[in-house]
Amino acid sequence: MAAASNAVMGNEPLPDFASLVKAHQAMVFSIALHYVRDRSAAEELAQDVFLQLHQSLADMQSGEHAARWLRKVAVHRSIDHARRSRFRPQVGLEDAPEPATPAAPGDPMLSERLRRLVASLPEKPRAVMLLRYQEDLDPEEIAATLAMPVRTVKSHLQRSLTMLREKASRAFTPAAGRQNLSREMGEVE
Amino acid sequence: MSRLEDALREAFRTEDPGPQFTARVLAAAAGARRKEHWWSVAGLRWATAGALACVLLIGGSLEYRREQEERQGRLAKQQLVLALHIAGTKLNLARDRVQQLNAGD
Repeated sequence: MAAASNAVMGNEPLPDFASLVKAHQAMVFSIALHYVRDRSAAEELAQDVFLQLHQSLADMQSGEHAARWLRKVAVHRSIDHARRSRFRPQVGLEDAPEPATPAAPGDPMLSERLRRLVASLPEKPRAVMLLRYQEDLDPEEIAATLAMPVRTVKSHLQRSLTMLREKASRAFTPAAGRQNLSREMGEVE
Repeated sequence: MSRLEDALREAFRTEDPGPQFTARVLAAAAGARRKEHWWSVAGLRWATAGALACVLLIGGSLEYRREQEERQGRLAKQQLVLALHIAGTKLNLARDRVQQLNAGD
């Protein structure tokens, strides 16, 4: 998938729609899934993003342009969806379909806890964290995607990480029967 | 790089929605294309109907105007004939009067 993504990301002529979908569906779906935390809503949202791309295909100049466009639209649509669903009842867990791919390796409990903590952030810092740690974008790229100053992006990142360290240190204490991750989480690069 | 950042990267790893998703998106896009095509055909029909309606409306209004002018022309002709008739009658009366006066002398 990464190789396909790299091939499509280049500045070569725009690939066809099917290739774009295959190359970027993981990115678009994961942005939506991590932001809205509802698998069926994320699939629907990702599908809408690709249909919007299909309508705007004539405006795309290259594979890289399409990838940037998809990332931007996916984030903004996720933010809109989260805003709207605040006033709507959520679908129960029992109604959610099974994951299409097996869960990622690692500590699933820690990952879930971190996803929940990030989900508790306000919408813009949440989007910043997603783009930083899912898409591995640097602050300048995040600023361009979210149309905000680089300084604001850095400030969101710093504050969110501080908040996560504090919350994680409270959640993963030895008394809770888990290893003391608080110290580890506090390690600075 | 802190362990927290590593853990965040792990937590936010991308996940592929699977080949069924790809198929669904491509089918939806094909459906949208068909809908667009139908819309463009329907749009063409509507445009043709609109143009035809415009032609009929303009033609009708021109015809109505022409008839109005014709009716006004006929009316004016009748009035002129009547005016000439009255003037002729008056002239005849005047001529008869003059002749009567001449005969009396």
